[in-house]
Amino acid sequence: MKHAALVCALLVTSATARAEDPPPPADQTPSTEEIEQALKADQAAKDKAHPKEAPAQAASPSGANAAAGSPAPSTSAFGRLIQSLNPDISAILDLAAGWYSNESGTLKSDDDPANTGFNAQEIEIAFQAVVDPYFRADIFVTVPNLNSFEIEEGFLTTTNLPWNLQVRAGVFRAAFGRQNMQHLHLQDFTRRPAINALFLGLDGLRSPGLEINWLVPGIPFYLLLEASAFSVAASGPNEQLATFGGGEHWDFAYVASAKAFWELGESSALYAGLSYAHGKTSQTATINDVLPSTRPITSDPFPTNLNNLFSNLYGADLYFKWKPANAARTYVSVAWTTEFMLRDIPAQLTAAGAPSPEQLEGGLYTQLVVQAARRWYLGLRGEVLGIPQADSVHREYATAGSITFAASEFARMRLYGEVRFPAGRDVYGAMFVQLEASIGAHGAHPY
Amino acid sequence: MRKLLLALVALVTVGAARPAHAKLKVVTTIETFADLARRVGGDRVDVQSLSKGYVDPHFVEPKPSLVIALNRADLLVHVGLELEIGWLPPLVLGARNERIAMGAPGNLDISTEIPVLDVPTSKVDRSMGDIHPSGNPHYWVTPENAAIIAREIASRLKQLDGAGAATYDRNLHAFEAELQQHQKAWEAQAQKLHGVKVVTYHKSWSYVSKWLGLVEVGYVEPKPGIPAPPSHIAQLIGLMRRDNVKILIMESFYPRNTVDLVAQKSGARVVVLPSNVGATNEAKDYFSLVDDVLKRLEEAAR
Repeated sequence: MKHAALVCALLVTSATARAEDPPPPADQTPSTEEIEQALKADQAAKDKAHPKEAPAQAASPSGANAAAGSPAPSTSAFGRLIQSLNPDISAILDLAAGWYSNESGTLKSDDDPANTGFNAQEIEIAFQAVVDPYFRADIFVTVPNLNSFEIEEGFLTTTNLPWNLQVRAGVFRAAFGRQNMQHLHLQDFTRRPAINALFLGLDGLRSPGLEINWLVPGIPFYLLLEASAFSVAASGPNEQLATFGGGEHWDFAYVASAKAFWELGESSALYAGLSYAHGKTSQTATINDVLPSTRPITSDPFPTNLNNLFSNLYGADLYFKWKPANAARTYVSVAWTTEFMLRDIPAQLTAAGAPSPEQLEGGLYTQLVVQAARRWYLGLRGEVLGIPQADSVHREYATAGSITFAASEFARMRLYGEVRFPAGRDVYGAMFVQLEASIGAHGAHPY
Repeated sequence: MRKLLLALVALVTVGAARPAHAKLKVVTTIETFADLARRVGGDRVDVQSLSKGYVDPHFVEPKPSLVIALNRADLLVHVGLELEIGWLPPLVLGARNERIAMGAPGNLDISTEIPVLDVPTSKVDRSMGDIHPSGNPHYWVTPENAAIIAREIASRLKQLDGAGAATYDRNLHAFEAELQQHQKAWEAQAQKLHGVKVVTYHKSWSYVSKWLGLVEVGYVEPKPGIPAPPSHIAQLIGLMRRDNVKILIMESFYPRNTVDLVAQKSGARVVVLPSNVGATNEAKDYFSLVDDVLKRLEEAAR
């Protein structure tokens, strides 16, 4: 009964949502007379809505009389030339030169600079276009650190679904937290925060999948709900424990998130998100100390295997931005982002039947980016890892700073430095100079 | 769980249903368009502007709250010529509203009907700064174009809301009549400004200069988005002295330091002009916007 009520409600909604387009009666082919009658009625309605305009125009003391002799809108050959059904194509280069004090002992995301020295950190080529009235396509081909040619994202987005729904299908970055959805060139620091590689994967959480999202109507603020499923690949032999990627092929990773936005007056805004993901862990390496800097000093690796275990990932993120609307005498803005992630591998039996105790590990970062002048940005970031700590993630504190000069909207130069303090171990860090430039018609980025 | 599901369905029903006689929701990208849409639409429309008049329309923050306005809109009126390309597309995509999709009747790009100035006649690239490759989009201040804008909005409103056609026509004619009245006074003021040499910050006054017969001899920031090097500023000051240029026009959202320096060294006056309804306290609507522009220019030219 309740199910029937739900179905009825959905049908009613569908009907009211399309109130202006009443569906035609089913199974009725209109006769010729009916068609002619309908055409006459249409014409009558048109004549009524648009009375003969000639006399009205002559009488109208139109200020556009000056326009009477003005030239028709420009239809130069150049104007016609720029029309093309080719996609928007753009390329973004990220180059970084610098130094890691503990080369092999630093955990790096795939799009962090790979080594001390010169790095072609990432080259991204984007193809973006509307496919038809129902879809748009966005394809991003990236070459991170000159390592293979991969599709960072290649997905279709629906543009025509009713009820404020939208579907994305393909390979794309999951809507988990805030920095996971951002490509490298949106970062304000040269290296991603460690919780990216630790909990989301060296590539971030991006895999082939399907997402449905819903812009909740009828409320005075922006609220987006999202649910998605991904087929995540298993982690590699020399990689640490991955939160997802284990189990059988049908053991998808499921992600759900809610993002809300509030304006706090004209100059400030708050963007908050809650995310949850569920899947199975993947670990093919026997060393399970994730942070290389926290590996045991002896050469014996820990034998613990955390492969193919149910895992849950929880995330909370907060983004606060202050940017006065009228930037008269100066250009100033402040953006403060904080993200916290918690991974819970519940107590369960491994495939071999051995009991594996609960592993609860978390980490966070908080960063402040201040636009100090029209083209200068100063960033400060702090990280705390291992809150709480378990076998794979140990306590570590880190701080990073960046100074970015935006020569124009299309080219940036950055100086980046970080220092990391692992519990009970030597301090280590990195320093980079980064250059970023984009060419072509890259689409505008979301807020 | 079931209660939650029912509540969600209730929300969707409430949000998706719209009574047939409700006002048409019009969203514009700039305040001047909003003012003209209100005049033409009268009480049959509910108009909202995505940006305030005192904000640089190239760089509007694409806040998710704007997505809500677009989600509920029946008509989106925008400037075109890539003025809003840096922020509008992700908002329209996020709006999930096929009524305002490109090519739909609810998407009105006014630039298609405007006689566009400054269309590049040779290949352009970004060494020229962030230029507008299809022509100058800052067209909405002049009376000639305001009439076109109002006419286009009226025509589209009639298409979307046939029942209100008579009202829209009546309002449009009333606006055109009022415009013609004001133009008499404006022409008199324009006479005095004919031939006056000016320098502008950004090349955003082409249409106004053409209408008033102002002669633009140089720009503080010739390459949009690229602060000019000291050599250019020195050249500009020299040029202003030589040609006796006394007026430096800028919008309120540009930085003052360089402008004040140029003015001081060249003996010119800085004139901050409103470029949109709402840019100054005096520019409350379209007519007072043009009044304010002319008044400030007149004062400076004295």
